[in-house]
Amino acid sequence: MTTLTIPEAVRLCTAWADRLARDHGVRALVIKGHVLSAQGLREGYESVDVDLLVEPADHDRFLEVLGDHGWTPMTLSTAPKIIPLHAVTVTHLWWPITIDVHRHFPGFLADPQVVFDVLWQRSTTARVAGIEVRAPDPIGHAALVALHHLRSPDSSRAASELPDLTARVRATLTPEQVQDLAALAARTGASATLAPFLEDLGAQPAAEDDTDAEALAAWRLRTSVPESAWLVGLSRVPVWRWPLDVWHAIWLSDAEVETYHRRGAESLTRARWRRFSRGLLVTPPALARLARHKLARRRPRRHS
Amino acid sequence: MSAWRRNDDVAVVESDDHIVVVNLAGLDQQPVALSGSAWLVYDTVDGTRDTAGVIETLRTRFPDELDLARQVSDCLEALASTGLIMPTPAPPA
Repeated sequence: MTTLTIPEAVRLCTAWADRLARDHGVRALVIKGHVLSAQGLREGYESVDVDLLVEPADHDRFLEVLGDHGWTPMTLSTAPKIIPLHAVTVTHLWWPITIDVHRHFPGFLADPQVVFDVLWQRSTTARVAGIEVRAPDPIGHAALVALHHLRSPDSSRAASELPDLTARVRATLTPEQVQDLAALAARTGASATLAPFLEDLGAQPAAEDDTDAEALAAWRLRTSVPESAWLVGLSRVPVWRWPLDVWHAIWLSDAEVETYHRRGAESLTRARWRRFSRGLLVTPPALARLARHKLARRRPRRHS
Repeated sequence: MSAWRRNDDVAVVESDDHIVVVNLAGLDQQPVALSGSAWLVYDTVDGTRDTAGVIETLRTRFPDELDLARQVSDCLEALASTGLIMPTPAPPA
């Protein structure tokens, strides 16, 4: 067996996954990763996985196709989601990396099929490992990656990479293209979610989009109180289930701890304890922020 | 004999001392690393050289290698068997 380095595997597997989708008539866009670098929207970051945005209608079929070629889904996290699950991560014995197969991309709040069609219609190709792969055009890609950062605006990566992306977009797009970006945001239900990015670019607000209010509220909760998922999850189930759900939130299954929380060679017990300790630290402030968020939403807005 | 050419369906990533490739025409094939002589032979395949041409080209670089012809032939066959290279179609008569 060939020992691939992570950077080698990411490039080869990007080309491989793109070809697999094409061979099976599945429309898929390679997102983030090396395409982003090739388009001048990022520099100096080595991806550790392959990301594909797959046409929603064919998402499950493509997962089956991947399964036929030895890729298996990772253990699904049972953690409650404020934003619905948007991707499945698959692994393979030969490849030292994973593929994230996205059904839709959080922050684009229009119908996922509409969003995909908009991105597909303006898609382009980029060269990865000597092979042309299908990818979003720079404008669609900039919107998608900005949403990726705006989903966790307080993360260290967002703090450094979003301003970098903004600067690169400002340097490469003409004012007309920036307006095109604002129009794309409106068509994909992302005017509100991308607002900070669009404002930084100096884009004029495009025509009103018909963003789903509930989806926008979920986005705002997720981005302003990211630790609140378990608390929100509890609020959505009957009280009699709380003891069981709280216990599960604390303990998780071995497979979940192994997949999502264990670091290096540490034991499952240690990983559980570390996660529990962090939970004790973040839960009180998350409760407070959640309460403030809900209060702010209930307060009637004053129009001047 | 036909000239050898590289398969356009092969994804390639180059490093300092080797390349890794995967044949996209056979999606169940494992990625392969080529280093040393295998990399040299693959690198010499350019769509114009047949087996004798590849041997001759490498002979100028390794004049003292006694078993060069056999090694290059074996390597070309191995590369062809995995679909990384293929014979160039003969021009229409």
